[in-house]
Amino acid sequence: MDTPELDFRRFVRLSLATFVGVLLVAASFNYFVDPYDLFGAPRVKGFNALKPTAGKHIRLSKPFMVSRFSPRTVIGGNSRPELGLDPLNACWKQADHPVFNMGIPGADIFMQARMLQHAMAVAPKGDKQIFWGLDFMDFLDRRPEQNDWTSWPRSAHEYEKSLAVTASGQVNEKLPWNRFKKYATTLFSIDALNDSAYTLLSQGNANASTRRRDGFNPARDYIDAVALEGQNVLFRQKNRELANIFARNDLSLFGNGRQWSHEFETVSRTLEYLKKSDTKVTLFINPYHANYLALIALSGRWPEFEQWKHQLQRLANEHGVDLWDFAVFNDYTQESLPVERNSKRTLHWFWEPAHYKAKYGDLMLRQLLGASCPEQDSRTVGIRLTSGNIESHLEHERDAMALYRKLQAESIDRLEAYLPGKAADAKSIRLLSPPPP
Amino acid sequence: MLFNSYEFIFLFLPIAFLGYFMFARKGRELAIAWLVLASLFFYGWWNPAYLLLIVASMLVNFGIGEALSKAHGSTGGSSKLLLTLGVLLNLGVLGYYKYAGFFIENLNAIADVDYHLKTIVLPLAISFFTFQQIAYLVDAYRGITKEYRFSHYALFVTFFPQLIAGPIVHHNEMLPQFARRDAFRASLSNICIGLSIFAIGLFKKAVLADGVAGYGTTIFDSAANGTELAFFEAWGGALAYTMQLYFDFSGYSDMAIGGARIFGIRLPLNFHSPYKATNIVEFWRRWHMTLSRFLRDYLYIPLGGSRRGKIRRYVNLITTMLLGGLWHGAGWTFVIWGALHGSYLIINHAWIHTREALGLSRHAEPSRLAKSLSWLLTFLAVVLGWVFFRASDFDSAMAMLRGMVGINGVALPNALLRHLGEAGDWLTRIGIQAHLGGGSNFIFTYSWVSVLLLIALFAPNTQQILSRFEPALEPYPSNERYQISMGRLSSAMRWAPTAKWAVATGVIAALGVLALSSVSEFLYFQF
Repeated sequence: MDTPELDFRRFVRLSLATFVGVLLVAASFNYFVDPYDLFGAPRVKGFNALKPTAGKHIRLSKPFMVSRFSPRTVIGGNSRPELGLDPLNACWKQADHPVFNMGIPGADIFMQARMLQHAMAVAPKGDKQIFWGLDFMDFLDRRPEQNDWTSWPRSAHEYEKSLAVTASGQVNEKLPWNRFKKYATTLFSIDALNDSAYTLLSQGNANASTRRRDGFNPARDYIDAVALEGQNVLFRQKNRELANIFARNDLSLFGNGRQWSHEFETVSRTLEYLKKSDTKVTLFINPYHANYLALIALSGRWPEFEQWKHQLQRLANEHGVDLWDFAVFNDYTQESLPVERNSKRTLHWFWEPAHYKAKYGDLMLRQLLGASCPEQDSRTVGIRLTSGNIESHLEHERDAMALYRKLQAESIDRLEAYLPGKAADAKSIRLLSPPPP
Repeated sequence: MLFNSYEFIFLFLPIAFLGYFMFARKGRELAIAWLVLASLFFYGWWNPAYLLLIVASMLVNFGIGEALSKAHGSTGGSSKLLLTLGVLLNLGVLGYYKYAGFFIENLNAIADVDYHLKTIVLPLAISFFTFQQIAYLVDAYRGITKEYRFSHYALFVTFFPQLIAGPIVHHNEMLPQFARRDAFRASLSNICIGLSIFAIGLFKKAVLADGVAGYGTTIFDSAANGTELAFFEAWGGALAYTMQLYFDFSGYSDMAIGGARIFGIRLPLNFHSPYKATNIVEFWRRWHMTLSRFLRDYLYIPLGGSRRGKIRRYVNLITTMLLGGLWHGAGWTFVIWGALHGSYLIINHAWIHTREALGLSRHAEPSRLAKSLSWLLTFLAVVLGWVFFRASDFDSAMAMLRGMVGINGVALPNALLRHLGEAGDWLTRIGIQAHLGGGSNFIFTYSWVSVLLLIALFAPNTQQILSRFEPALEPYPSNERYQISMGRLSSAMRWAPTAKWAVATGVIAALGVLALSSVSEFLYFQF
């Protein structure tokens, strides 16, 4: 080791300068590209307007997005409303704006509720409204013997650190520190750096996945998947996934002999909280393709499905909020699938059995916001449930289900085969991972 | 505390370093005491309760070691008895914490009884500090080393760079370094070299190993959940884990060596490009070298080594590897992994004997083709071993292997086949199946694996890059005959305190730090 000390001094200076320089360049790049829309950096067309990796960290970024957006109207729920209900739809009144879509893919009921609570806490003072899309599957859970809603909330979650209020409605005192940590760990992150680079390179891709500033997911990632593999493949993949879940014996709506659950407790408490903050709430049941409804029936869960709607209606009634049911049979939800495996024909109203397109969401908004729509349309896709009409409505749906099973015997056979224990249709196709999103 | 954490890099390491050299001005013993306390703090960061165990273990072993050293040279069997007692005591503690649950579980299964044991949490690093202290006792008994100051002994055991997962050091290779005249003077060259080695290790761990980790985990989890894996999925998972483990553990070892070097201390080498090896004997000379050394010196040779005939040698080999497997964890998959490697070693030695018996020279330079085939065979054998090493249980390992031999068919993502157009149609015609989803996962898995394999095979290792500055104790005498050649890259990549290397070090250190935002533990912390 005959290297002069001077060389080492220069080495230290230069390597330290490089180290700090790379960190600063990376942080600046992450800030300006803002791949998750965390910092609210300006969206520049051709540079960072599309956010193809935002979906990966949407739980992290939406609480910050909504804080900047200060909405008067918020759409809540999971991925279905996130890519189904468009805040730019013409039926929204001027007074409804700004409208923000707070749907979070894969969110359970508690997360959906907490996100709505947060959105209202950061919204400006005055009248506000919420449209909360509910999902049957989100109410199916493993049920312990004891009353699992007596200790509510069950536990604190990591994502709640970024929310403005705690579950009990108190101000989250640690939010500034948590926000600082989130910002710092995202600015100085190699994953974010990768995602920033990917964001930059994807700006020319007409079908790149993205989230709009108003939280809406335009579902562009479905376009390539449909074009490449055909919608038939998406349906089969999702149907199989749904069948596996509905067939699970350990999942149920309520515990033994009970009519209540942690999920209902969550909705009830959230409605109570929202009532106190000048917020008008409208609940709605997301629409499903008839394949989805048939799988509920074929797995023996139809009585539970009806029980769920009943309980929701009672809850809505109790809290004085509207409840709409869009999970019904009609010409749209019974739209037929392309038969051939790789057909290019696409469905007009659905991406796959669980996700409706925004075009269908437009029809829903027409009904939900009826009076304010510029062009009135007589087509109805759902029904407002009341204690007076629920029985006849459920009976009507039961009949529709029976008719569907009769008329679509071939589809029913195929769906039945997806249920575990039945003959698999998978001659050469196996399920590896869930489809997007 | 993890090496790959903000608190270690930006707080603990600078404070420990500054404190050490500051106290050194006031006296060596003060500096040593500071380093011991800092190391205990580093250890206690996970769970302070374990501090009691490690301190008690050190006190007992120090006492026994002192007695052994004093008794060395005297006649009579009392020191042998004391040594036996000491070794048994260490193994007893290790056995209780690591193997009691495993023992009861198997006893219940065999004897059809139903004993219960409350969950015993494995104290961090116990496997490592137990072995290190057993080696010390044996060395003290043999008169190779002795220690009369507890603080020095505690430093030998707890010195934080090597405490958690090695390299497993000997007392007589550590303490003399602290006794050197210049040991307590901070040296800019040591800081530069140490930080450069640390940065390479951090990059290997945080960027490369953590980058590929998810692709292996997903597949092994699927196997554990009963998913029938097709050929490419199973191989993708096995290869991803193969790469993850190497970059994780060799990255950790680099960080340990680099961390120690900042203090002017050289640790023994733990890795020397093991995946370049063209036979399994050579693989074990390059993989986890300090464990191999321990097993050789304190198990294989005391069992008789190769001195008592071929059959006995083979028995010793398989015994050593079985126990080596079990050392990694209390589970039958580790025993199978050890048995596999024991068998590989026996086959390798038998092959050498056969060649000698046939009059074929051991020293002729093998052809490139022979070398490539030897490498492939060695690598496949190692990957097969890692499947058992990683799998959560025997059934999962078998599920992986069924996939890897193609029992569940050969499938590619539907999206990929569609992308391939006519080639995709042709693949379908020859029997390649399609599976839904997982297209991007497939591409990423094989891209990561390919890049990392190329690095593991053709890039020089840390020891070679830093070869001008003696990065480790006893550099490995690289034997080109038993490795896939790496060509000119090795000589082109020789570290020196130049502008080029300063920039390169700054860049990889920054990338390593940028990768800290998603912290993950080192794989070897579980052993």
